[in-house]
Amino acid sequence: MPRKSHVTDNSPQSEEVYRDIVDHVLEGIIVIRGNQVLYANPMASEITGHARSAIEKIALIDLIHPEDQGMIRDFQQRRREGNPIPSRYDVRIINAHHEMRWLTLGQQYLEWNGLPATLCFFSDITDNKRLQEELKHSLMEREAILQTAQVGISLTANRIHQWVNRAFADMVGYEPHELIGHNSRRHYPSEESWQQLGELADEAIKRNETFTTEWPSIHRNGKLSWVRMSAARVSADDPSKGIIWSVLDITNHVQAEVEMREALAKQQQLNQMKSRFVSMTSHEFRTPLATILSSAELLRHYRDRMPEQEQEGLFVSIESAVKRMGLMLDNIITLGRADSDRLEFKPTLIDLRFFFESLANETAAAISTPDLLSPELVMNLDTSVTSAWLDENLLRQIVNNLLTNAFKYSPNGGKVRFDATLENHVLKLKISDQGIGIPAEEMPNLFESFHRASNVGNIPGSGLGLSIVKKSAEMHGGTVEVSSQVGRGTCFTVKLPTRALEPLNG
Amino acid sequence: MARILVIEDDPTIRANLARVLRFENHEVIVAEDGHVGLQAARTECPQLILCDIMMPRMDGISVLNALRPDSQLSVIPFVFLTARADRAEVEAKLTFPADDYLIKPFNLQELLAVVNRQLENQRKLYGLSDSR
Repeated sequence: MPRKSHVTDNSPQSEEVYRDIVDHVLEGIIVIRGNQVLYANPMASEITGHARSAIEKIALIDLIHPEDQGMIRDFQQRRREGNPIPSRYDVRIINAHHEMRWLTLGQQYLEWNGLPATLCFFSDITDNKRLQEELKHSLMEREAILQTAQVGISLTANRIHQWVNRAFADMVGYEPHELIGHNSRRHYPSEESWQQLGELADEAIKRNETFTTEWPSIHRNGKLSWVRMSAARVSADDPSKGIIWSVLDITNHVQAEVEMREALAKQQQLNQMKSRFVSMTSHEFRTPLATILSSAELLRHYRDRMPEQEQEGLFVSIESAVKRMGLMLDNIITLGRADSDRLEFKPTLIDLRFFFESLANETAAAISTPDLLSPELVMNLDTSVTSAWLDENLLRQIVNNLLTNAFKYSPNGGKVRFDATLENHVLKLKISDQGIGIPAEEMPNLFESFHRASNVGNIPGSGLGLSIVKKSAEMHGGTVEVSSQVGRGTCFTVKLPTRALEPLNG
Repeated sequence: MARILVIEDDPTIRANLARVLRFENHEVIVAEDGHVGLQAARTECPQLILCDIMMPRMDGISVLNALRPDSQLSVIPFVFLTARADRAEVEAKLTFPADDYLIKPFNLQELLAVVNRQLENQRKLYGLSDSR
């Protein structure tokens, strides 16, 4: 052992060098035999607080902190029995100022004045110990905070999880150890989504900013959620220290927001419908009311001066105005029932040819006014159109409203075509005109109650017809389709499934 | 007695208005839409115009807007017959105001009151005699 050989070298020159080293070394050095301190260097005196002359009079065990005295006695015992003891350990002492100090200590056996002795060298590590304790404590505190936090927290480097807290692991459905060491791709809905987020975050992080966004996230069970996440460098000036992410599940907020927006839109729609209803009723009811009132007053005040035939005409106009209002009320009630699911559906066996022919002619006649160009009605009922089980009232509403519209919105005449086929238990009605058409931007609201297209001009109408057509078709489990071109014409196609079970004798 | 132009697309209301006014000893010219009405206003020299708002081809608002810039025709009292309660919306579309409004359904009394008041104002303003 080199140290031993140096110590036992007793040439005067090496003695001097040795003393110089021992006096100036930054470790405390003492030589002991049993409990007796034989030698102490200046640093040993500084660390223990005892003068070098005093130190040699102190029993070693008295320097040791009472709690560590047992350990030292144990070492002494083992030493006597020839058992090995650690060559390096930490021990507490009580210094001359009655303060506890931590020492880290190594020992070596040697001969001192011809007898075996122990050389102890030690340094004061009290400050290190305290820092270590504080660090341990603060790490434990931090761990507790991170683990109990409601937000998910992850530390990543190159998008690989270095550490995640419980909340983060729960949020994505994995155990922390299943995430750590793996990249974050797994809890993104797609490769693109993962890449895109990475690029966005990188940009902000490179500028040393905190990146915040709302992003979709996918749970291990496949369920999609929305999270609000923030990311920032752990160390502002050292990107290699990684990025800390905090993640909050906002799916419920997003959901609530969506629902709120929908409710608001629905409310606005209702309000619009209400105001359309008010302006429609205002016009559509006031006109027949004006007819009734003026006719009644004429009869009351000027009856004597009118021939019988003219009086009769006034009664007729009162009656038809009342009918017109009654029909409009029926329409409103029908819609009201449909909206509250109280519309009746009572299919009966209908002779379709007779039904369509008489209804079409009736409608065409009712709508035609002598002073306007009336379109020509072209009917084409396929031979397959015989009889079917359908609700007569609802079918009447469909055909009547579509034909009325076709005529009404064809101010320049042209042809109104009515085609019908009955194949595979589906009655297909096609009603087309060469009229003013429907602007494309009106299509989404076309079937809404009280809604009328922007290009109707002064053509009267309640905005109820198509709404009723749609409800009536739906009551049959059928559909309504529309195609239109402004200035060219409109084509409605209604498909109604007819009852599959037909009675034996038609 | 006065010469009154009635512009109204609903045939029954048009006929009834004409009847009432004739029974009240006025001379009545009728037109079934704004276009015909505007022609009649130019050629028939009416002393009062009663005009519906919602009509095919040319509405009442366009009729009034076409009449007002004409110095000869702008002096003719012009009364709107409207089924609409939203008078503000109508007024927003007018370059010049109408002289009065009759909201449908109006009764005989209201009609005659408006007609007589407009004719009276006209006489006071321009000193026109009844028998023009």
